[in-house]
Amino acid sequence: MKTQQLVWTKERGWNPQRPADERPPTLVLLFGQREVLEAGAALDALAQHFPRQTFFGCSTAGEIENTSVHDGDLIATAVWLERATVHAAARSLADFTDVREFGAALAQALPKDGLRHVLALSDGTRVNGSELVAGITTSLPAGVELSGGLSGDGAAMKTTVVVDRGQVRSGVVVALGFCGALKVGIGSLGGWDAFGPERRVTKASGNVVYELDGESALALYKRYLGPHAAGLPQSALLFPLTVHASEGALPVVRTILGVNEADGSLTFAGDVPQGSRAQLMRANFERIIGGAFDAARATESGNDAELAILVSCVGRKLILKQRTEEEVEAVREVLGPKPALTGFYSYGELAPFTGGAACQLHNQTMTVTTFREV
Amino acid sequence: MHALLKRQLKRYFPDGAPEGGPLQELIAAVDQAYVDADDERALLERSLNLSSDELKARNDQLQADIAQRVRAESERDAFFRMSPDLLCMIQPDMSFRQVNPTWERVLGYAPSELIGRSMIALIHPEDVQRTLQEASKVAANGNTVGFTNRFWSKAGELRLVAWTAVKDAATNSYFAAGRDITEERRKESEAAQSQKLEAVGQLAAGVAHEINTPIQFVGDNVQFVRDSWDDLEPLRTWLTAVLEAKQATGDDVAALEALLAKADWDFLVGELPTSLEEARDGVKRVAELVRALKEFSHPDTPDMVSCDINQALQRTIVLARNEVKYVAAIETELGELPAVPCHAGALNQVFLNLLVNAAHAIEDRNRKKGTPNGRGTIRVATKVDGDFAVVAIGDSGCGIPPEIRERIFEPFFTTKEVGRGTGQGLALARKIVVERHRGALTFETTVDVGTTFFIRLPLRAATLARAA
Repeated sequence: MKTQQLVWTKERGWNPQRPADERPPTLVLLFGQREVLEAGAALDALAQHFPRQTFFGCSTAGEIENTSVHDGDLIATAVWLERATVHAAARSLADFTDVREFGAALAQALPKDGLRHVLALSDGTRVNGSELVAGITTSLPAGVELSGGLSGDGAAMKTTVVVDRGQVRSGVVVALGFCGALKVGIGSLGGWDAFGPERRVTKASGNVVYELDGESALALYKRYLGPHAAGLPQSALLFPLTVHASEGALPVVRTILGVNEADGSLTFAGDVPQGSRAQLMRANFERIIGGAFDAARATESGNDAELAILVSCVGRKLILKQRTEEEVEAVREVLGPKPALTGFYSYGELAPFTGGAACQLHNQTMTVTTFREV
Repeated sequence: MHALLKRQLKRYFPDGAPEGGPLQELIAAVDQAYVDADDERALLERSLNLSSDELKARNDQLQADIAQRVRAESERDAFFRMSPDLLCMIQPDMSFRQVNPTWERVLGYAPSELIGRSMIALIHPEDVQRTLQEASKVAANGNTVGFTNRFWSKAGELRLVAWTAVKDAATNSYFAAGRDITEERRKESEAAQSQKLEAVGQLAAGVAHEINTPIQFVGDNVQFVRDSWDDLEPLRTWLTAVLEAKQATGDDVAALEALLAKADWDFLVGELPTSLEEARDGVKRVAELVRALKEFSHPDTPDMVSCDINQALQRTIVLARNEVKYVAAIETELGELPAVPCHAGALNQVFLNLLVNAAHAIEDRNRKKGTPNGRGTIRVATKVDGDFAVVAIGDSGCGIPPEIRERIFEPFFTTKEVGRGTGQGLALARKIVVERHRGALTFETTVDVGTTFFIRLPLRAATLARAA
């Protein structure tokens, strides 16, 4: 495997300007600001050096290049695979009414033979991530895992886009199927602390929560946010929710994508079943950085990884602010100098909690997927 | 700019920091970091205060809930302690897990003597198998009501206990409530016996009358034979004299003829055997009545014995004859029956009750129709129906009005005038047939046409067990 990272900024355009290899790459991963992607100039310039149909990626709430976290730029990571192959499938949400069926159709479009791993890059505001994951994973062959994330739109949470074969599209999910001689590692951890009383989700439907302990969910958040309530829905990222759907089930973390002043409801990135137990969470700097470190260790890739795709939650970036790069540095510390690090700050991460467990939609985690050709 | 940073800059750059360049960018970044840190701390403090308030409120609520629960538990404990029933929790291996103090009051065992000990050890050996079978049934079906078995008290007395038990699916244990019904059952038995005696009392006049008639003609006939013997005395004396003289003359023949005429010899020759026959019949009828009365009033046995139901019915009909004979003819159609396991004495009482009721129903109908001397019919029939012997006792009486049909088996329910019935007859009959024989007592009735009661009795032990 060979990789080359290029950074596009408004001021300087692409840097470096030339490809490191004359051969067409297997894949060019693109993560960047929505407006930059939609403007098209950056992609057009890149297409002069790399085939446009190899471009896949999505808009972000921050893009990762090596140990740097960019805002408003575009990061391209060209990947030349020697023995493995990548197959892409994309579907438009507009063609389906049921998200599970949508996810299943997406997975079924990928080849089954030799499939090792699926990386999904999804629209970030128009899809129920839990249902998407359920749909994709039920149609994948045994042993094939899924990771990826919901694309971002800065902290605006309005519109997100996905790059599919060089085309910038909204309302789309693209699935990249990695086939052949690859070793893939996945790790996903949060590092947030639950606090305050445990609450019962007394009224909810899908990913919309109306009441917690009989009280308007929005009113509760406003009370806790105080002056920050003016910054809703983005400021709700400060208080994610840990959700126990049932006794014995692992808790999942959910962040808010939207609020509804009219009915006092909150829309989360994934399902929050009625009757489940929920608790507010708060940031703990050291544990957040430690979470990224442990997520990288959970990939069990030692120092052999050649490519690492990092999908971290926008909520972490909102907390870490000037210290955001510390979590990327923590990943680098574990994986060593060899792998190219790329990825993005997302509206939701897709990964199993631990190797072999079922993939789930997460929020507030750092999710690391490592690749190495074998 | 953040106040702290302003002070720090003033301290370290008394003449002012250089304008522009990377230093100003650094200062701006540090300023933002200070603001962010303050903001973060304020948010944390706010969260801490709010969640502390919430946790305190919940703690208060929890305390109140605990207090309420403690009160409820205390009330439940009192209920457990004070219940007159034997309450217990039984483990799947039939050992006691928990018992209430009533066990000590009723059976003499302190709870500490029972907890952990097998319940089986306290049960009469003959009831152990049934008890284990019932426990299996509760395990499968979830509950039992009215199961009875005999327990040894600590003092060595046998006590009869009726149980209601349910299974706790979570622990596979049983929650059981037992009631000592030894006294109750004894009183019931006494009541049954007294009801029987009452029935005998009711019958006494009839029985006396029944006995009086044959005794009367036995007496008349014996008197007749006695008087006839006096009439024959001169003849015997004369014949003795003639026999002693060893010769008879013509005068003797005339004298013999005169004596025979005087003794009405021809009449006596015809009447004496008949009189003796009638006297023997009378004695036979009296003996039959006495035997029927004796069997009817014989105390009941605790265990069932095989019995000829047809014979039992016929004897009861003999007893009821006087009660019935002026109002109805009894027609019998007794089919071939095998021996039926039963409590014979108790069943006789059921038959008698139904026969007397039938006669009363016919009387009522006659009274209603204004034909007080009219006669009806009582039909007594038996047959085998599958695994059951069926006894049908029907009358051509007034029938049972629809509005009281559901109540006729209630204890102390009667439509009869005072002195004619206590209201216990049918209640007792049902108890005897249903509870003691696992049989059925039903009826069919049409107003002004008549009523037929059907007694169904299981023929075999297997049927009894199934019916149970």
